[in-house]
Amino acid sequence: MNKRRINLWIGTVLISILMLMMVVSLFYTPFPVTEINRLERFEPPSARHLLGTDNFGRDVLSRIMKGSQTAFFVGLVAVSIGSVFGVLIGAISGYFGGIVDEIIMRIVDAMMAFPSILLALMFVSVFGVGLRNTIIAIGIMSIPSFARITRSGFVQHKELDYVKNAKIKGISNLRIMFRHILPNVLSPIVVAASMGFANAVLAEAALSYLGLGIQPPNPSWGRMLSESQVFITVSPWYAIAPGIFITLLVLGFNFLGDGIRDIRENR
Amino acid sequence: MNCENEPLLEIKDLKIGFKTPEGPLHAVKGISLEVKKREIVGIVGESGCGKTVTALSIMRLLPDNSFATGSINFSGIDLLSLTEDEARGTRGRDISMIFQDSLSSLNPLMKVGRQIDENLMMHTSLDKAERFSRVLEIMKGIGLPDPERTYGKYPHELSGGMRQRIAIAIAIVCNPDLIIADEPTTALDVTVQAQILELLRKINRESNRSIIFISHNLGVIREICSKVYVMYAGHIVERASAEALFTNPGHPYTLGLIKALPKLESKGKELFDIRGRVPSIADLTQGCPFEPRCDYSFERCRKEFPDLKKIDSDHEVRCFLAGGKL
Repeated sequence: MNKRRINLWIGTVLISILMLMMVVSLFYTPFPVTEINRLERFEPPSARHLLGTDNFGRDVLSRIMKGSQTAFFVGLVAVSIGSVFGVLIGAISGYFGGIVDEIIMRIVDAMMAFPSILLALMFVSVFGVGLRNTIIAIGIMSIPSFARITRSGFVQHKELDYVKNAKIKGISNLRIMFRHILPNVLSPIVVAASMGFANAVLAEAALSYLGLGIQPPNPSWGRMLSESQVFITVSPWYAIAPGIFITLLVLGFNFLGDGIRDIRENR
Repeated sequence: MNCENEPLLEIKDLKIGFKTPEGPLHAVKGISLEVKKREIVGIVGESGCGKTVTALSIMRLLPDNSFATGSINFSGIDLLSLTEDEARGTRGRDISMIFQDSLSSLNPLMKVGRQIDENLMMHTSLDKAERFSRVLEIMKGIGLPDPERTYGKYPHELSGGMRQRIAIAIAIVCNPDLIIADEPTTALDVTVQAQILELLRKINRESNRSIIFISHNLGVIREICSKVYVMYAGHIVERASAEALFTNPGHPYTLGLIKALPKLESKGKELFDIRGRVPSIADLTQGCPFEPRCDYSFERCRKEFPDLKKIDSDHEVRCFLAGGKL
């Protein structure tokens, strides 16, 4: 039993630490995030600069901390967009079934057939680069998976006796869908949300790495990764730092998702 | 009193079928049934003979791939011709239903009190506090101990008997005229079963509610019902008062069901069972559907389908031998 819980623990601890870092960065960073210091360029990690400095002499730790705000914000909003619309679409599709279901699911299939990063690239290049469009693009990308998971739960549950009993009480379809069925199918959706969060962080990093996501001077982990690439031989730690934090955050949410699923399946 | 004889529910020539890729299948083949006010009517038969489908059609809850013809007249309204919205208005308020398995028929993630309350919320304009006291009153009335605490419990925290009481509370909270109980005691042990039967009898006695009691157990039916319909393969094969049914069963199938009841005198002897099984609804026979299992069958049974024949003022049987001695 303890072995099963270990995923959950690792995930929770990782995310808690990163989240703490994010909260701290709202009030305090060791150095101003955009302060340029020509005298301290490419410094290796030291007591003064724990993660070294970049090509402008900016403190990497401060920028990582500030960048975590972007990562969490993008993840949270994108997952919210994806889950709200995905759950809505999946619920309607699964509950009513028939031709509505058929049409919605074929559209979802079509969306899934696109490589998601391509879809996001297209969206960003049409509507312009920037934080807002990045988030919307990532959110839309995650709708299909939420829709599928929600739908399968609804298909399963709509035939159960408690739903029949709710119908016998004369309860409206809308209320049956969201007050009766949704709480009962919520756990796989929560798992998907956790995984979706990890994917959103990765997608943001990828888009920013390509220069299409968060615009400078705002720090973003993906952007730091791409900026540091040029100097990888001069100061490798500059590239390693954002890489490690992206990995930790993604890993954390994956562990969390796995942990929740383990608990659910071993109930 | 005059209202005693007034029919509350009148089903005429109800046929229910399902569309399948292989063509339509008929589950109920033209049944007529009447429930008077204050009456407890039993529908008895083996699994798969159309009892539950009939009940669901009264609730207008048949699955999408089904079709129903005939008429179901409920105090002046034809239920089959209602729109979905109108049907929803009658469900829970005028007609309600109790299921066999109370664990699966209650929402596992909603407090039981809220589930009772929900029915009131849908059909009355009472405010929250009024509904709460009404729910507690109902819970007390059906013998749930400590209603305030039970209100906040989840279904898995209650025993089977208590859960079935909750299901009954949900069914009666809006004062419906008709309650359909689909095998309400089958999943319970015998002592609890007796309590639930007593409770249903009390509900029937103390208010004007009629009950349709569906069961495959004739023993239970005998205890509670005044009138019994015996269903077989989508047909009503016998209609009689509960007393007449047991003293003078007219249909070989009814006789078989009565013989199959375990009795104290027959302890140690082998239990009787009706040979064969209920025909699948895909089987189409010309003659009497019970013929292959019947001990009394003869040539005519294989070719012709018998009509319902009146053998007494309140006793009808669908058998060529009806009226004679079985």
